[in-house]
Amino acid sequence: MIEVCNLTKNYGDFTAVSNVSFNVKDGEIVGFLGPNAAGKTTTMRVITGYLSPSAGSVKVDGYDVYEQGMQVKKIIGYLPEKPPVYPDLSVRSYLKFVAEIKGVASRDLNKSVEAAMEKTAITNVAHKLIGNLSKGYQQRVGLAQSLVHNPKVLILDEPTVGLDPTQIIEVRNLIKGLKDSHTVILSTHILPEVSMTCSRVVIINKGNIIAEDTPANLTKRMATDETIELIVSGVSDDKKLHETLTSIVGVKSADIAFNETDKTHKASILVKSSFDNAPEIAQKIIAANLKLHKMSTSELSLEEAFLRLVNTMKGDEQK
Amino acid sequence: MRNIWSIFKKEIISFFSSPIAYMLITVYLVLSGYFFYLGFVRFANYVNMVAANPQYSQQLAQLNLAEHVLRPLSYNICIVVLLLIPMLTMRLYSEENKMGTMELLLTSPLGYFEIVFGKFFASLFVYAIMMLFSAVYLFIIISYGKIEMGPIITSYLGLFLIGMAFLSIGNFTSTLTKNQVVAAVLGFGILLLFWVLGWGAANSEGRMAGLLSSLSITEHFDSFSKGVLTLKDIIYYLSFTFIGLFLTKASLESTKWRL
Ligand SMILES: Nc1ncnc2c1ncn2[C@@H]1O[C@H](COP(=O)(O)OP(=O)(O)OP(=O)(O)O)[C@@H](O)[C@H]1O
Ligand SMILES: [Mg+2]
Repeated sequence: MIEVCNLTKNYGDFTAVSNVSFNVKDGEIVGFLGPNAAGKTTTMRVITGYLSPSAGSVKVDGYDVYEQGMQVKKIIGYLPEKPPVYPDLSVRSYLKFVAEIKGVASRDLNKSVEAAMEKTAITNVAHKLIGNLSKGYQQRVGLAQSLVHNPKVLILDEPTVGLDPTQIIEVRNLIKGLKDSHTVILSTHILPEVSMTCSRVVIINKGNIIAEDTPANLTKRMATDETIELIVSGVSDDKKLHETLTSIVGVKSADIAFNETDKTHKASILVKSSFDNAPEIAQKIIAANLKLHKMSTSELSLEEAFLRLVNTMKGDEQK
Repeated sequence: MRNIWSIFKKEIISFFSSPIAYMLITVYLVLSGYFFYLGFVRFANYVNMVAANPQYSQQLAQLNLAEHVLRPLSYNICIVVLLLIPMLTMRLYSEENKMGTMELLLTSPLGYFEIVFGKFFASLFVYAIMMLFSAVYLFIIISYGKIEMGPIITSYLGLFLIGMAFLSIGNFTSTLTKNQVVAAVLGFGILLLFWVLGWGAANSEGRMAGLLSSLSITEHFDSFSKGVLTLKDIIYYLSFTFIGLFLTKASLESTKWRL
């Protein structure tokens, strides 16, 4: 449905998105994940035809966004980063205006507007001026605007930003409900959001795609690495402890930090398998005559997986 | 067509839900009313003076309201309009650029000219309302005596055409920025430049003088206030407007690249 092919976008000499390619299949919900300034908004703006690509191409439903923009615009619903609302229009007249310019037939106007307001739970403020609404409600109006013409493809730039927790859940359910009948790309920095709503994740950082997989696979891929956390006291030499720990087979890295208040050291050890490595670590600590206060293991959350991916990329760049 | 109408309606709501439109119409009515009053009083004094001196009776016969009131009046109104129109058009695009709603318009299946015309007609509509209100003054003139309607109608047409030309430039400069004040100042600067082009003609010779005066926005207004319709002048204002709107469209199109 959406084919992004070697897309590059420069702002002056600055490359915001470089050589990005990915596909989104019909009826799929894809999460676009990345830290600030990763290039998510830029990519979405090219997909919607708001910006032209510097190089590469984007096709939506077989139409080239650049060459056949009009066809593409008809089937896309777009929620920009900042909800594109007019403060001096009422919610209802605004949605009516959007429905009109998106090409909804006159006789379906009212029906479409009411349906979009219902889906985003804003019917109760239909008569209010948008400028008088709270930020969260304005965000909902923005979301309603993207749905009003029931588009085949939805591009949502951080759809849940500014919403309260109940509404976040409702919007996520709303997006999940679009699966199969709609093709959705949504951007976010929030990982749980992706694992809850998306069938696939594209992780982008500094304009490059660094991973692309299902949320479950991504976690699994990273979950082969686990961390063991130790709290020990009586350490005289940080370096020696570090050496002792990293010399153990299976330990990938260790981070040691001193805690001033209770004079303990906290070690976070990245290991292949905590089950295999924990006994040996404990033994070595005791043998070194240190006091072991706490030992715990944890699997990497998607959040940590994401952070590590981003950090690995940074490391590679420095090399 | 439907899209132009949708944009038009939206702009009209925006115009009249902000104080700007009311303020501009009021300022316009006050100023043009004052100019009307001045012209009228001056004319009345003149008539009295001439009537008191029998030897001027020849001139009295030639005195004519249209010539002495209407011409300076419509010229003064032109100046007021020159000042007010950039303020009328300044928010049309700059506000959309600032609020991010341009992103909505430009990602909707709208033609560029549909946006341009929708907004232009909305500003023309507000301008026409201004003009219509000032017709009250005309009724006063008419009620005072026999007067030819010809010059009145052509003056109005001239004001309408010159307004269209001004509006198109105002629309254009508004696309260039996110800042309303910048749009207004820029628009005013460009209009003023065209206004004073004719002054340059007086100091130049030959071809240059001809070119300058034929480009000058005021030069073409004279015929209308004299009660004459000249095709050349009508075409001048229409093509001025068209070029302004074309630039507006080109500027919208280039947002894709500028960002
Ligand atoms: N109009 C512009 N001119 C110059 N640089 C820009 C422009 N828009 C974005 N950038 C730059 O491009 C990069 C990517 O920005 P983009 O808005 O796509 O990031 P993002 O992934 O959406 O970030 P966020 O999560 O903060 O929304 C940033 O470094 C930004 O400064
Ligand atoms: Mg963004």
